[in-house]
Order: sequence, then structure tokens, then C-alpha cells
Amino acid sequence: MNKYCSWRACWRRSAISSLENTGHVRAQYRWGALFSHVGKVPWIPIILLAPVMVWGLFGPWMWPHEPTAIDFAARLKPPVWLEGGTANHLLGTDQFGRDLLSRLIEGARVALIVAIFGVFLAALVGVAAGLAAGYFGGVTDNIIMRIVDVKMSVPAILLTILIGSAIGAGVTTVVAAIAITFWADYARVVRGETLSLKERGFVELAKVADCSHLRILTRHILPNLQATIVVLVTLQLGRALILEAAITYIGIGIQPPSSAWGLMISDGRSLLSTAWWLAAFPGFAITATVLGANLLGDWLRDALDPKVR
Amino acid sequence: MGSFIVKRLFLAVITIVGVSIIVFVCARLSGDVTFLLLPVDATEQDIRNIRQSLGLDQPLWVQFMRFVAAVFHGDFGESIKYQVPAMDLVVARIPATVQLTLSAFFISIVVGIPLGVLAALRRNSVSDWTIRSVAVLGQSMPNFWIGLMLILLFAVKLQWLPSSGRGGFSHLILPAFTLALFGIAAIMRVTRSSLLEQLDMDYVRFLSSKGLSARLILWKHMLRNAIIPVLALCGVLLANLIGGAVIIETVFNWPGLGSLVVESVVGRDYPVIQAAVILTSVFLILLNLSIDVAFGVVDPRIRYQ
Repeated sequence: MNKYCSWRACWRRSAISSLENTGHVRAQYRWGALFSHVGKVPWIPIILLAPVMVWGLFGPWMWPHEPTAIDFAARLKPPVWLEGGTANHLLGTDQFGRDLLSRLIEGARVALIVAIFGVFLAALVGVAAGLAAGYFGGVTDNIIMRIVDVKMSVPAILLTILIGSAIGAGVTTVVAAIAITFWADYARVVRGETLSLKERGFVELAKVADCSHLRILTRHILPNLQATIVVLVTLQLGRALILEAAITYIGIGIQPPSSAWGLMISDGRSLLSTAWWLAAFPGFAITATVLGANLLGDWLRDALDPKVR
Repeated sequence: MGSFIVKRLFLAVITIVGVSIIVFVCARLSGDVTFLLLPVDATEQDIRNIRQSLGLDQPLWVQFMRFVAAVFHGDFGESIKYQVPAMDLVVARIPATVQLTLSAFFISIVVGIPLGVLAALRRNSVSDWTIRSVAVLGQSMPNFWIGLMLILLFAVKLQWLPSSGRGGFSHLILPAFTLALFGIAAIMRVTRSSLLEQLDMDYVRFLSSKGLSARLILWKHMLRNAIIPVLALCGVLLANLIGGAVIIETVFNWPGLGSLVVESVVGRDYPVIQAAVILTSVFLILLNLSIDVAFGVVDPRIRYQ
């Protein structure tokens, strides 16, 4: 009897490992194929995103002037190629004589930190919710999907204003707004894919091999979702940047004297007729970054081919 | 069919309750209102009295039930800034927002569908490539910034159109067009891809071998099939336009719901924000409900999903 039991335990252990090894279909993503075609390097996104990345990482070593340095002698200087512009201030200055290029460079850091942090938070919450809803189904699924419904029926900007009026303006509000706005997209996509993945053979075999739910979710289902999540994160970075700029523009986001791009546009609004460059250039910076993120996301989707849509 | 409508209705009610919970929680998070209503030298007794009259001494769930009851009566309390019922303030601003949103919706459809058809029929041509590139670029720009740049061009430099406020037709052009840009891009993309799917269908080949003219096949047969995903997009689009209007109204000083909400958030006028958020959400939930039911009537397959 004793011998039998130990044999059974031993058999079960080996069964778990053998089933996991033979039945486990390695994730379907094609990371290896990503860079195997030299001709398919996404040059346009790289060119669009490179300045923001470099500015965000090495800003303090790159800006020609201190971004907050006030110099009334050099107020409202136009960009260098216009009449009255100086090479000292390549993109001109604002009404306090602050250098526009330096403020744009500082703004890149703010934009990157806030957008990346917000989107990652959204991904964390959304993926967990989507996995739970798709895998467990039933009541769990119902509750999570009703919360998604509620989120979908309040426009993102109104939800943000609600949060902003509750906890006040600031970076926390922006990150919370981005996370709350975008988590539902992950939840929906991940739920859908989990529903089809859990019918697949390797999940059935993992169940037969007596794996715990947690192990199945993290070792068998999650790896197959990598490509989908990476593509979604990239595509949402752009949308998060726009949301961040919009929140900051209406005054409940990042506060002065920080040099967020949205803040610079809203500062430039009152000077539109005298100093158009103050509102124009931050907008170009946002557009280039968002376009870069969108194109990179499209490229990743084509390269990795997950079923995002 | 009846049970389908009842089920949808039930879900809509749950969603409305969910929205009220969020608004209620945010109201609690925003801090103790008694300090806004009382002078600095109020006594301990004054605070207790006002808490009692506002029902803040009751358990949380009692407070929530009272809140829901008040919401169903359209009572959101008084605006802190204007001292009038918040509901009246919000309702007074609705016509301006409806005018702006519907104009943008109309422009999106009238411009977006023909562009999508053109892009699909001339697939991979210069015009297709141009239309798609502009759409991708347009979706990467913050719309409030596009609005400012249009003001710079048409109001400041060329002085063709007024830059802000609400008045005649000329005041409507810039904000409506700015708001519509997103919708044009979205409608155009869906129309293009949905029409491209139809191009490969057998019935198109059959009709053309039957000798029908390309124009007749396109307008009478293909577009009817291709339009369904576009109609499905319309509900989502309207919701997006209502959200987008909040920012666009601020840019153009358009006296609608959005600019009221933004003013209120700066002044921490919570009752007004509450009223605006709940009214907008209820409207969107009912809109989606009617779209769902309409599709259920038109296409029985949807009922059994």
C-alpha cells in the first residue's frame, strides 16, 4: 500500500512535468521573426520617437538653457529663421524669456514618465481583470464586465474631470485618469483571448496534470498573450499622451511651473496672435510622438500578428 | 424579442446604478463639504447640526440610497458658485452642446463615407494613400491643438471666421469641423475596410457578369451591405464626440455643457459636475440601449449572442 502511494505520487509528479512539456504549446508570438528581415526595420517610428526618448533620458545634459530660467531681456523672441530671432534661442522664447526648446526638452521627460506609468498601471489592472473574467467565467466574469460597461458609458474626459474634482489637480490625477480610462481595453481583449485559449489542448492537459489555476494562468495562458499586450501598450501610449495633454490643457493635470506640453499649449493660447510659436511647437512635439507610437504599434501588430482586432 | 429587450434594459439599469456609485464615491473623496458651507469660527455644535441636516451622520449605505433617490428626482443640490439648482444650470447648457455635437456628427458622415468609398475603389492608388495618411496623421494630433491652429489660421491671420463664442452659422464652422476631424477619420477607415470586404464577395462577381454597371452594383448592392459596420460605429462615435466636445468647447469658448464642467472643476463646484456626468452617462446608456435593440430587431442573429 505504502509502496503504491509513493509510486502514485511519483507518477503524478512526472505526469505534471511530461504533460507540461509535451502539451504546452510554446507561445505563438514571433519575436524571432521581428528583426530577421532587415528591410522591415520601422525607420519612420524610430525617427519620430528617437528625439523624445533621447530628450527624456538625457534632457538635463542637452537643454541649451535652464527650462525655468527667466530672462526679461529676451522676451517673446521668435524662432531663429524669423526676423528678430537669435541663434541663442533656436525656437524662440515666451513672455518670461524662457527658452522654448529647453522647455520642450523638459516636457519630453514629463510626457514619457506620465504616459508610460499610466499605461503600465492600466495594463496591470486590465490584464488581471481580463484573465480572471475569461478564465473563471460566471459571476466573476459578470461583475468585471459590468464594471467595464460602467466605465464605457462615461466619456473618458468627464471621468477624468470627476476624478480631478475629487482628488484635486496634479500628476496623480493624470496617472489615475490614464489607468482608469485604458484598463478596460486590456480587460476586453485579454478576456476574449483567454476564452479561446482555455479551450486549447495544452490548458486541458495542464488541468489533467493537476496544475493550480494560478500556474495555468501565469505559465500557460499569459505567455500566449504577450504579443497582444505589447501591441496594445504601444498603441495606447499615443492615446495616453493625447489624454494627458488634454487634461493638462483644461487645468486639472500637471501644474506650472513644470514644462508639460499640454501646459505650454494652454499658456500659448492667450498669445496666439503675437507669438504663435508658443502654442505651435509643443503641438508638433505631441503629434510626432503620438504618430511614432501609433506607427510602431501598427508595425508590431503586423510583425507579431496577434488578434487585437 | 421581448426577453432580449428586458435583458438589455436590466443591464442598462445596472450600469446607471454603477455610474451613480462612482459619482457618489468621488463626492465622498472630494472631502468634507461642511467646511465649504460654514464660517471658519463655527462651533462644534454648528458642525454637528449641519452634518445632521445633510444626513452625513447616517451610515454610508443610507447616504447612498438617499443620493440615488435624489438623482432619480433630478435633484443634485445647489451650485456652490451660482446658488441655483445644479440641474437647471446643466439643462440650460444642453442645446449648445447638442448643436455642436450633431453638426460634427453630420460632417463626419457626409465627409467620411464618400472619402472611404473613394479610398476603397481606388485601392493602393495615390488618392487612397493620401486619404489614409491624412487620417493616421489626424488621429495622432490632439484635437484642442488643431482647434488652436485653425483659430490661428482662419481667425487671427485670415480673419475669415470668428475665433470664439456662439452666434450665427459662422461661429459654428470652426468648432464643429475641429470636433468632426476625429469622426471623419474613423468613419472613413471603417467604410473603406468594410467596402473592401464586399469587393471580394461572390455576389459582386455574379452581378457584374450579369451585366450590371459598376455604379449600380456599388450604390445599390455593395454599399447596403457595407454600411452595417458604419452604422454600428455611429453610437460609439456619438459618445466620443460628446466627450471630445468638452475640450473643444473650452478651446472655442462655446457656451455648452463642457465649458460649464471645466469652469466648475476649477471652482470645485461639485454638484454641477455631478449633474453633468450623470446626465451625460444616462443619455449615452439609453442611446446604446436603443441602438442594441434596433440592431436586435434588424438582425435576429445578434439576439442570440
